[in-house]
Amino acid sequence: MQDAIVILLLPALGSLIAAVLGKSIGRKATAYVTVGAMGAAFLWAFSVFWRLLQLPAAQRSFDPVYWQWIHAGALKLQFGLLIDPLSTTFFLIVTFVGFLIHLYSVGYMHEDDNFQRFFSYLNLFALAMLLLVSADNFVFLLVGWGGVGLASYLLIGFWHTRPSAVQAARKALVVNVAGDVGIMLAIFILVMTLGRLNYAGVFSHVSSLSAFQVELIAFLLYLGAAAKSAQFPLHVWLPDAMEGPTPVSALIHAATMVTAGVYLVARAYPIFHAAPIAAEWIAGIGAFTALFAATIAITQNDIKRVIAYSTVSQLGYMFLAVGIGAFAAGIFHLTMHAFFKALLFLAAGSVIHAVSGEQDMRKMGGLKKLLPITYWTMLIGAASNAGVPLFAGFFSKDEILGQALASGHFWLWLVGVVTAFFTALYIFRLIFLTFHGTYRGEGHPHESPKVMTIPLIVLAVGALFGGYLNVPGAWSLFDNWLAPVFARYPGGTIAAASAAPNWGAMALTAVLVLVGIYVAWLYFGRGEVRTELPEGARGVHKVLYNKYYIDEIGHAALVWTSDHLAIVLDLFDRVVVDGIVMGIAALVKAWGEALAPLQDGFLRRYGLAVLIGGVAIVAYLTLVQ
Amino acid sequence: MLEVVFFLPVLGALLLLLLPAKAARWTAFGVAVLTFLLTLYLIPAAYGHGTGYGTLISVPWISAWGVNWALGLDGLALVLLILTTVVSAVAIAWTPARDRTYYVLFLLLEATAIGVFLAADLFVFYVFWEAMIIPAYILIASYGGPRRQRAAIKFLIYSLVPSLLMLAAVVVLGYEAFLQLGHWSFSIATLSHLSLPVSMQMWLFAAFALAFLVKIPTFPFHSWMPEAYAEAPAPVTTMLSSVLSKTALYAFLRIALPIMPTAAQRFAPVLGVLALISILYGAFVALAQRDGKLVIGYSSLSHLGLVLLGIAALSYTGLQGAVLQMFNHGIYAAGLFLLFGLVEERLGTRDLEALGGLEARGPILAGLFLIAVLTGLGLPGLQGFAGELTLLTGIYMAHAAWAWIAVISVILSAAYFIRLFQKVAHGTPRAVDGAPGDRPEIKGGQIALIAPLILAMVFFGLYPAAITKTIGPALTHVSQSVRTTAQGPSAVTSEVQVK
Amino acid sequence: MVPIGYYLVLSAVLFVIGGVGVLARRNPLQMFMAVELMWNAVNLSFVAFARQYLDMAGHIFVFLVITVAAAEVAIGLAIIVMVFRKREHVDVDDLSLMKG
Repeated sequence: MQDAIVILLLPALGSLIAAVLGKSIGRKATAYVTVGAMGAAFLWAFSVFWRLLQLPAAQRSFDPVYWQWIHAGALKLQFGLLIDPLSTTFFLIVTFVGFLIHLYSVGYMHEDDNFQRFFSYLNLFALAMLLLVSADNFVFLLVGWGGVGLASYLLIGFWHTRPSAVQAARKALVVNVAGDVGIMLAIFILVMTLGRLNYAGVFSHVSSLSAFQVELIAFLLYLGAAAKSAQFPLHVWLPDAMEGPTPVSALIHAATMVTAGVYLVARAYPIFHAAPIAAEWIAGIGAFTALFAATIAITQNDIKRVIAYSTVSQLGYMFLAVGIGAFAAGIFHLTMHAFFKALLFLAAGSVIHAVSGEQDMRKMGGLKKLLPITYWTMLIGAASNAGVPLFAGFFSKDEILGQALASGHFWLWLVGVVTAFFTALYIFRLIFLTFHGTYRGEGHPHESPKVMTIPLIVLAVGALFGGYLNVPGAWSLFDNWLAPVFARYPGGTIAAASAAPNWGAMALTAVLVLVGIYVAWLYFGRGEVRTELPEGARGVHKVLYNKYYIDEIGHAALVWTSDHLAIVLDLFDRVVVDGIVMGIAALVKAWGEALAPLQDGFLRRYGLAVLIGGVAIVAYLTLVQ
Repeated sequence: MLEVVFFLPVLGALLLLLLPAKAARWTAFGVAVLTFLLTLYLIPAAYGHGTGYGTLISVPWISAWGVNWALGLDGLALVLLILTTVVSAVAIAWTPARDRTYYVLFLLLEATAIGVFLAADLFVFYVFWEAMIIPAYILIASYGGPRRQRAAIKFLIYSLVPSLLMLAAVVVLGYEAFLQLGHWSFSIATLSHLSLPVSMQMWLFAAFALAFLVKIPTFPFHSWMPEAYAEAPAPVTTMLSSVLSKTALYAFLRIALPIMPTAAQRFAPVLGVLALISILYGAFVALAQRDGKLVIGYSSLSHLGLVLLGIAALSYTGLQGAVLQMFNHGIYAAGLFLLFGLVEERLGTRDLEALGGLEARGPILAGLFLIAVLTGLGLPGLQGFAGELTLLTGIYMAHAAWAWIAVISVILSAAYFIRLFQKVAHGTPRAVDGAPGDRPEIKGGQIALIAPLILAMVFFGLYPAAITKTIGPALTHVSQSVRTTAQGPSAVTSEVQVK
Repeated sequence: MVPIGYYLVLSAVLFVIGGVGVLARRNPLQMFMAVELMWNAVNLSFVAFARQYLDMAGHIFVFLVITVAAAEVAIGLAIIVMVFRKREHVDVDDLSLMKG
């Protein structure tokens, strides 16, 4: 499995070529190189997957080591990759969805001046994401972690002449770096306590840590995970990140990067298993985030923002899953989410492309006839996202809810079920506002080119049938594939996983989802924008529309404070610190100026002074002594 | 061969005086490159059998006082020597200067810095330490911006006053050797075997430390820094920040810690607190600067504060991180100052509110600047990260609370560096009248010049072990000298051995 | 033999005359002459003491003083001549360019 690094090297090479040679080889060649790199990486990942599949389940884990990264006292580390079913799953998701989105981008970005730069960044992102999920130690996890943050920053700010994009990019980077710091602190504690940083070493020695240490490490890791995966209250950067080009939103801010936090919790499950308080906290915040973001999504008018809040909400589900110990279920939902959310974003991109850049749903409508492929694929994505029975999202979400209930987390389950209702409501509101009724915008929308619609169709197939990997009561191919990963250390499987499916609970969720769609139909089914609101709902709407004012609160608490502290300290530096130094200089000068008049230029007066001085000395020597 | 590294730039400076002024820039560059190649050739000479110098030259100089012309090379000196020669070579050719005196002074600055890093005799060290101030002063005073005179005088006074205290301390040490051994000696190795009374160590350490803290600089002795950095031409600022600041940090490791170990332990909390203040203070002040050069300047205050904190932690890992980060900071600070200097040259201003739009008109320059910025903010995978991680780990092992506070600066670092980059690169293109702002793109020759720095940022991010392995033996020596004389409660933390 | 006291009194009188001359005159040439008088007053007492204690050190000092005084006069006169060429007249009270 030494060759698995090729999967990383391919996009690295693609990125380098696009960056350095992009201008000279032209757009077409750049597109071939970068898209080809992703395609080849997918094929290589598939070969790794195939080779793993040939082996007995227990042997499906490899840890090829490449070089000594550092050796500085206590900090000693080799760079290696961990190739097991979990990382291979991510390899497949990242390279497959990544390949489709690269392909789609060729069409979406074809008019952009910085076409080559865009593809260079996309490949860079793929490299970092692949490193993140395959590193065999926390430091290179952090390297990948920082790398995806960087790629995300570069791509959010891709249209750098827009002030809002620049602002959003900066916000994303700073929030993400705050998360990186959490992981960095966890690394310090690991070095300090265990002296190890590679997963195998850490996970097999978790039991030698004190309860407090484990909880601390778990919370710090979670800080990183929450920042990357937009968990409340660190979700603020994700909706703003929609300033980037839509394929970026699909790849980075929906399908792959934002799920890195879920990956981290799943990968480090021995730590989270040993840290029950942190785990409960993760699940609780996850459930809260799911509901919180879903309610905001109902009121937003920007098509991408609705999907962005939907992503935040779905990530909440995943954290709920990994928090209660249902790791496989969380990863399953993550995989299905990668399909349907990438699909939703790409379809939204197709819509935006068609209506020449408009993102406000109030100016859309009636696009069903004009964009048939986009409509049908997006409908599948929406149904999957909402969890309509027999779509992919239904199976994966239900597995999470079922395990929450079975493991005794009734309240979390309840929040999840309520969220399912809101999810159906907001996503079908989006569908109805965008595609039904009559067109309210300007110009003549047209269907996107094939290079964009083919990825939509492929993803729609995934969103339709992906769920059949795990069918409750029948088979669970996906969970069995991941099982050896979670069997390696204690705590990877919860007892409830084997319990029989709770058909009643499932039916309840399904009914709520259908009711949600019906409510959406009642209000928005004719594709009309409703401006009048019932008296009592206005206040609620305002709060929701303004996203519970979290941005404003966060801004006041952190940005305002640090900016003003900076200004005050800058003044302090100029006035006090430099002032003291210049004050000493001024004091010396003042002394000089005070004494200078003594040198009045009258030579004879100097002579007199010398004489008086001489007499005084002689007098002193003779009289006093 | 060791003395050749020092004499080569000096001879080069003399050669420049004979050659026509037109040839000065590239002759100086050639000499600097030759010096760099020579240091590469010296790499095997840095490794000895024990923990001492790999190569040591000692010739009697002023025998009545036991002063020897002694130069020594070990892994620690080697790393900083390579840093000095590579940064000097890039900086010296970076921009065309008015006359050849500039290049002569630049080569002399390089030579004196090399002398400081190689000195194995305290007296030789002091001579080079003082000599270094002269070319630096003239370079600021003659080639700087509009307020250069004031900046240069401030730099001069700030450098000279603590140096006098240091001279007194040097003489006291030599005399102490006379009292204890019967002959005067300034050899650093000999001095570190003296048994000095604690009260005397304290005074000596304070005198040395003051001179070093000013040169790094550290809060509250940094107020020469903003003006000197802002007024000096970009390549000179680069030397001040990349090389001269390292001489002071290096001197802590080479002189203050081995010779006055007990005092180092007693003073460690004071240094730690000053370092912590520098770290946070520098970061916040950087956040408020409008002058881009000062953003980088105050970021250095913050980052070098972290290095000092690593030294003050007195743990082996902390020292490793400190030296690693000294090297790293030297590289990325040089990249930042030089590239930003080019931005200033092309767009005619350093005011961040007036800059903008570089990414549209000079994408390569913007891209290179971005890599330097990312290295500076410690992006994992690039050079700055490895040093930061090692440092913070070392600090955490000695004083967890220090690390918790210092780590805040990582976030602030991201904030001010990204602000810097965005103000320069993003937004709508602007230019000041009269500046050649239409074509701000970096030219081929300068890309080739800066390329070694950029490559180093990536390479040492992926393979920091290259540095840590080199400095290992020398630092073992330093940390042992502190540890074996450990007294009182602040004894060095025992470290976890890693298998 | 003349007692040493006489020499010393003469020396003191010469010294005071010289001192008053320096302070009272405004012409630098006259001041110079007064200064020479002071030098010689000191020389006189040196020689007197040398004779008294039979010590050659006094004579040596006198020669040193005479040499220094000659050098001083040479430089001083040169300066005075330069000043005179520039200003047509010389008055020390007008020469105050270096005042603080």
